[in-house]
Amino acid sequence: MSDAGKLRIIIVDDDASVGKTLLGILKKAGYDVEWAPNGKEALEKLKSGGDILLVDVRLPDMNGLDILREGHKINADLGAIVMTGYSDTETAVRALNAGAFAYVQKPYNIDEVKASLARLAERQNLLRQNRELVRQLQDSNAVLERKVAERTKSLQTANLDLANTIERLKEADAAKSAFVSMVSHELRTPLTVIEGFTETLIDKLESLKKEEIVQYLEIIHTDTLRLTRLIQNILDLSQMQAKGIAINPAPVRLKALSESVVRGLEVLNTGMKFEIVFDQGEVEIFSDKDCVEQVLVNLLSNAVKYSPKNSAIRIEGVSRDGIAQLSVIDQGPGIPEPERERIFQAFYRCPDVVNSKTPGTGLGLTITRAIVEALEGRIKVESGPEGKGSSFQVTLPRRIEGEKSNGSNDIPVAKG
Amino acid sequence: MGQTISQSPKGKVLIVEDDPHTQLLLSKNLEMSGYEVFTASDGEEGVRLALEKIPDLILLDLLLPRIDGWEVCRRLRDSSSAARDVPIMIVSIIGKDNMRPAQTMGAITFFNKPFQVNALLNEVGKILHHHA
Repeated sequence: MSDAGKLRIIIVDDDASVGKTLLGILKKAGYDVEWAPNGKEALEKLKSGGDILLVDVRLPDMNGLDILREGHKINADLGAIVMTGYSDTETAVRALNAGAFAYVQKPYNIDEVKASLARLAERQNLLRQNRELVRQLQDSNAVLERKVAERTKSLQTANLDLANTIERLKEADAAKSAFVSMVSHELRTPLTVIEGFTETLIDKLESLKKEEIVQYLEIIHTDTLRLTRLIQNILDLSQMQAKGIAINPAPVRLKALSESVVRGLEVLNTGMKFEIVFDQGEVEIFSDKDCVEQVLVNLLSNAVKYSPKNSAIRIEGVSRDGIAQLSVIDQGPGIPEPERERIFQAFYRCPDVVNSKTPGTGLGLTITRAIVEALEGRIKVESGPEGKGSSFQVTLPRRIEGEKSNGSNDIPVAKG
Repeated sequence: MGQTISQSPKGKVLIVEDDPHTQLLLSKNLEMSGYEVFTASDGEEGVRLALEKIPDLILLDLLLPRIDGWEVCRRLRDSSSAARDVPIMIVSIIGKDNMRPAQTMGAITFFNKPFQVNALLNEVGKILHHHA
């Protein structure tokens, strides 16, 4: 292609003297000019760029008008002035029909050629500018379309995010409703018993035996305690959900803390044999002491509650790769594989435990896990090879990152 | 499962309730009122006892282990035994959401927990009188 400023003219004439004379004159006039002696060469030159053909009609290899038609295939904007030796109007009309801008008769008047060329050059420049404007318009259209597409995409993404948020809120809402309905059930069950036996005692005191009266009073007492425990746990849990769990990071010595918690339990004469094993000695982490203590108390209380009298309860502590692991291992009945995740759900209790009438609210481990997670840790449970004994393993980071947990907003609730 | 208190009981009542204290509360009061009482602690046992004893009334909790109270209703209504016509009284925690299916399941009355023992005994008396 010719450069943006200058138009390139190709003279096609088999008469070398005519061609070269014109070449000289037009070069002097400031045009970028080339000369081709025949159609084939002219088209070759046109392929490497050309805006105007100055072409003789009669050429040895092909007709000048055919060159013009071929040339238009190479450059649709090609302008042409046809030179003809014939003095007939038929050739002129055919040249104009073939897309020529003008024609000059041979022998040409050079001023006439120059004047035609000047007008054609003006037209070619306008065509070029026009083409450039169209290109710019198309470019800006493309940019606009891309921007619209991008904006549409970001709106679609925003819509998707919104839909996801709504979905999450719905789930949280459903979890909350399930929790409220579970709480309502758990509260009304002991209330039914307390209210019912109280009414029975008032109405039928005369016809009841003394053992029956004692039995009913004991039941009322048991269910009152159950209600009290339940209310305390629900309050703890809802406070965790509402305010999160306050974390005050400070150095915590896990072995010393375990010893102190065990001393507290031994005062209660549980009849259990506690062992504390820290193979590497004291493990110090940067965490919240009260929270770690609460986790230990909850796990050890469960171990005491569900283990046979006089059995051993072992606390193991190890430290590796930036984490500390505390395990509470008991000799109780163990937890069957399918129950191991569910026991952390609110209000879930193992059927065996329910059947053995061991008191509990089904919230202790839910609370424990919420605390462990606030400490950026994890809790899981394993049972021995024969399914005997439970090992609750709490993994805590050696150094806690966050200052305050936002609490867990969706505490899973056991279904049915 | 149950025990007969008087020689000529006023009727047979099956209690399907998993909470042992609530179960005892209901059975003691019904026995003292002169009914013959059977108790089941889960849904499957409830269905089995209903088919076996053909009671005059079933007191049914909804939230039960194994199969829930609705399933107990469905199985009894679908059975070819005389147990399909035994009136069912739902004694449970009843919310807006579980009232509607109760009506379609053919339960005849509802007692929300906690309930008044005397009101419940009166209702039991009325139902057994009507259906006698």
